Amino acid sequence: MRPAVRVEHIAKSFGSVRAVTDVSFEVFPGEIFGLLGPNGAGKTTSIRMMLDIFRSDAGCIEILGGALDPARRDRIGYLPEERGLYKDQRLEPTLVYLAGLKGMAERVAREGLRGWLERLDLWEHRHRKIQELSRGMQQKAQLIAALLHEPDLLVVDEPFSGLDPLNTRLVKEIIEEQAKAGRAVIMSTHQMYQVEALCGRIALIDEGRTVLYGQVREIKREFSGNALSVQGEGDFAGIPGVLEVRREDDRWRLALETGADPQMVLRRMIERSVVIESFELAEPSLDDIFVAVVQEGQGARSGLAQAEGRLVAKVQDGGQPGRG
Amino acid sequence: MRAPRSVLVARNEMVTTLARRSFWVMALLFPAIIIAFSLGSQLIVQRTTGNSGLPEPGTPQSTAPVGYVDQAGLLVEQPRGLPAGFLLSFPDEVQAGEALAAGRIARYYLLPPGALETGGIVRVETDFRPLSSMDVDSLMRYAVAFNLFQNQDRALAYVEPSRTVQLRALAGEESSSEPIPDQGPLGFLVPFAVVFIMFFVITTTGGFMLQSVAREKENRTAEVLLVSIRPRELMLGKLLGLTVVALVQLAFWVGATTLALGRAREIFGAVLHVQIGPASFVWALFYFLLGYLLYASALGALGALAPGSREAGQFTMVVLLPLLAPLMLNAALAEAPNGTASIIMSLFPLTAPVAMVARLAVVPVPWWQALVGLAGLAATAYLLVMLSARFFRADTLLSGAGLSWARLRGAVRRVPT
Repeated sequence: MRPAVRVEHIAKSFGSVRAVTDVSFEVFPGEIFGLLGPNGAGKTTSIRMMLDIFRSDAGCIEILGGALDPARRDRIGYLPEERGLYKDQRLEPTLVYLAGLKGMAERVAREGLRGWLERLDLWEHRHRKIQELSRGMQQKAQLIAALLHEPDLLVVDEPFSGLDPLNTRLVKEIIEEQAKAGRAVIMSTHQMYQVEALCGRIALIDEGRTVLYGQVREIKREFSGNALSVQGEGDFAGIPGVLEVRREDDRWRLALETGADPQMVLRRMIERSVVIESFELAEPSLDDIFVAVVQEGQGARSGLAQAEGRLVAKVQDGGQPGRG
Repeated sequence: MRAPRSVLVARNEMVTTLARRSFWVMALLFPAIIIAFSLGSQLIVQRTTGNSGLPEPGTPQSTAPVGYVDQAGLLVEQPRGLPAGFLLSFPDEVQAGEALAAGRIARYYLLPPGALETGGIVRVETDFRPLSSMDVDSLMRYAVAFNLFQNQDRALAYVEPSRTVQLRALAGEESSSEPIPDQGPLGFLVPFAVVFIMFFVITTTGGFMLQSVAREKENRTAEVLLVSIRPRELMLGKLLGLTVVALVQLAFWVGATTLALGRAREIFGAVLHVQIGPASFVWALFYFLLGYLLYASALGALGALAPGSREAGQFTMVVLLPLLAPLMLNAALAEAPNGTASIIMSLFPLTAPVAMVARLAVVPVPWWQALVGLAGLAATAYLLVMLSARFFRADTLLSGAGLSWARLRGAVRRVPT
């Protein structure tokens, strides 16, 4: 199957700041693809390059089978992380105008709009100014702006932020429907349980690079053994090899560093007189994997920086690198 | 077939701006104020002066006649140049008093015996009108002088010795050989009104451009738009839409000012010389449109760079500074519309939209000057639109960085992508 989006080794700098160093991924029609990463990792810049808002400094981007020309641009729906509609304008004409910019005739846009407004409980509010709507309503209105022209590629950045559980469920349904209808959906979010529930494949970006990419199922399998489920009492936080500790009901969930040996971690617990009632390997959640990969990256960078600092200090002191 | 995106943006800008209450307040409030001012002043002047003084020779009579009782035997002959029946002779004060009481005359003059030697003439009116001495007595001075000189020109010269004054600068010959008609003490009104209108319409409608761009940045609408439209298409659409808005505002302001100037002419009897014929109107329209384009694109660029309208406001005055020059040097445009300062201002592209139109309104401007000024303005507007397009980029439109001279310089130097 031909990918709806193909991003290969893209890079972008703003002045001296390197926002994206090397990001690659593919997204196929009919799938919901998760684009993950910590704040400032380069996700939004990558999305903006993909949508031709920014020109990439390097790499190659193909959208819906080619370079992003005006016709392909019209086939994209985008819900940016930084929401924004004309606050002093009324809801209905604003959405019709935005659909017009996507090539929709006004009459067709008005016809299609009714269904969306009714489904998202905004029909009664169509004549109100956007600034008079609640945050959640504005969020739904913006989602309509991304969907009204029936795009073949839908890019949604933090689609659930600001929504109550009912509306979260509704938006989730809509995203799933879009994928079932054969559209490619790219979803960027920090809500890992939503990614686990919706996405078949993910790319994790950290420090401007794709550090993890593939099927969620396979990634989890790869990282199995990197999480422990422990019942007991004591201080689990300072144990070597443990990245993160969190309480889950009556158990502790421990995220381990990549390559950490669970048996070694168990021995360290016993050495520390931690009371252990039960100890088992847990399938890592995406959250665990996210934390493991990102913290390891930070650790590696911090270690590298410390090593560089020592090296610089030695050189400044007239010492020889590599000694002591 | 779908409309180009720029046209959709233009239509949206036009509709939303025209639907805004603040636009109509701006478009209608100012004309309402000047009309109210002119009508109010008309009432005050009519209450205090009754009617005007010496009508222009050949002008139709629009005010009540004036009477006189000539006991000195000075007004043997009715002076020429006055409307028929305007100056009425009465044999005695009783009859003149009756005519005044009946409202058939506005006032009457009593020329007592020996008036020529003593210079004492009495003016009789129904009410006390403190401002009526401004120029009403020029009528009687003219009537006496006409009878003394037996010559209309000499009599007019006696009443107003400097009816036409032509400036000859020692530094060089004046560019126009045509004498500038004297417009009386209110002659500054026309150029001032033109300068005022052009300045404010260009700055307010240019300001709409700034607000529009800044609003999209503040509302964070820019990112949604940039997925559908190129930054330059967005800028072009905004410029086009707001051009229509600018023309609507101009129409209101010009209409109100024309009405007010007409009133002023009636009130003060001033010969307000307005030159706007069809050709001058077309010139003026082009000057306005290009002037609007120039300043709106500059202000739009400012809006694109600034994180919000408040920050942009700090730099707005710098952008509009050149346009202030004709406003501050309005006296030069009024007194010597074909003088060196006026010509320089009307040919310099940044001041031309205001200065040239002010000149076109009061004197015949040599066609080559109008053409050179327009060509310079068109070239500058084109360059500025191109320059502003460099500021209309996704990274500036999505940036919340503060505005500084260093950032401005960087944006100007940047190669467009």
